[in-house]
Amino acid sequence: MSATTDNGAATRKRIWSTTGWLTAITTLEFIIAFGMTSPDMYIIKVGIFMILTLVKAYLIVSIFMHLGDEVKRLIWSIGIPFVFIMWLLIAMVREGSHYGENAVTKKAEGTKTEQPAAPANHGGGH
Amino acid sequence: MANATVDSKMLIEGERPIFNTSYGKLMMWFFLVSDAFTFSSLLISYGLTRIRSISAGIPWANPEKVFTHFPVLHEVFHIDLPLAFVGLMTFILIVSSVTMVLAVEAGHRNSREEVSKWMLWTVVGGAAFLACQAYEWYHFISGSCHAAHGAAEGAHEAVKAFCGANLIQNEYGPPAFGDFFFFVTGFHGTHVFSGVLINLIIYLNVEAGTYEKRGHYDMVEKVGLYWHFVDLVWVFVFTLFYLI
Repeated sequence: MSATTDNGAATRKRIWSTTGWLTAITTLEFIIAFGMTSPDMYIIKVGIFMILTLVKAYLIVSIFMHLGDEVKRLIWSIGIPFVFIMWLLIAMVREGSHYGENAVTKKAEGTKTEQPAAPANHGGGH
Repeated sequence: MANATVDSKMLIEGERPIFNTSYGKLMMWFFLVSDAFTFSSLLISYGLTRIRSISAGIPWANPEKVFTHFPVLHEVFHIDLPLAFVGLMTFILIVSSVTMVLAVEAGHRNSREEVSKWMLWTVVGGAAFLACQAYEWYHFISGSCHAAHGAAEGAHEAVKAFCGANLIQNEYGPPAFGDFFFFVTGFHGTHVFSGVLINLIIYLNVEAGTYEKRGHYDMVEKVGLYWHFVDLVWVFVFTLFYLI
């Protein structure tokens, strides 16, 4: 990389433009945080935040941490373990509303009102 | 890729043995993955606890109401600015990350003065973030009851049952809210603190010419990876704690 004749100017330009993108995305997040306040839009707001945060994470990891410049095998070595995090996230968010429920009381509730429901049914946790 | 003999100096200090990168950098990446798992577990637990609490009918705290103080504006002018201070903290940390990248880039060109300059700015940025975080904690702990202890007149609005926050209870929401705030931001703050210390040591080494003698600024890159990780975690913490 020291062989470039522009004294690193192209790299620096890339760094500053990435900084601009990060600042812009953060500003957008703030605008959305204060703009989308209705409870109906909550899920959409969360979804947008998740996507924007992942974009920021991608920019930081790929450009600032130079992972994008490394060999593909290293990129996959870092990226693939995060499948476990994705699983944990989805599992916990889905099961969060049922956490702490007792199978016995749940069955008892079920026989009182309707068919005994298996605990895996969506309780409509929101 | 497979050489007959392994040059141990090359293996430890530089050039391209495994995955085309130095041993130290590779190990730093693997450490960061493990640390990312730790932080992910903490944040996912936060999400789990929050969803569980809400579905059990216990309302969670609203960050826009809790984090409203801004230095000077709060104390002197009594203006409440929701989430503005935390936005400033995010900006400070991102800027310190940028100065770190610039230090790494200067290291590629073996320019000692520039590396030194950018590393110093990174240390300053990190220290500023820690100061801001201390201010946040102070206000979180002391709470929003102003001089409620001495006021026995009873003429003002309803006195809160508990003022401030600790690990047992807090005035903003369920105890778990305070616990998670302290634990996650505290754990992250510890990483920032250790990062500032490490950056300081590396800065002093740059000034002393250690890496100039070595011939490469790989150490600045490794430390840069750690610092960017700290910034990345903050991006997630900030989104999940304050924005959602």
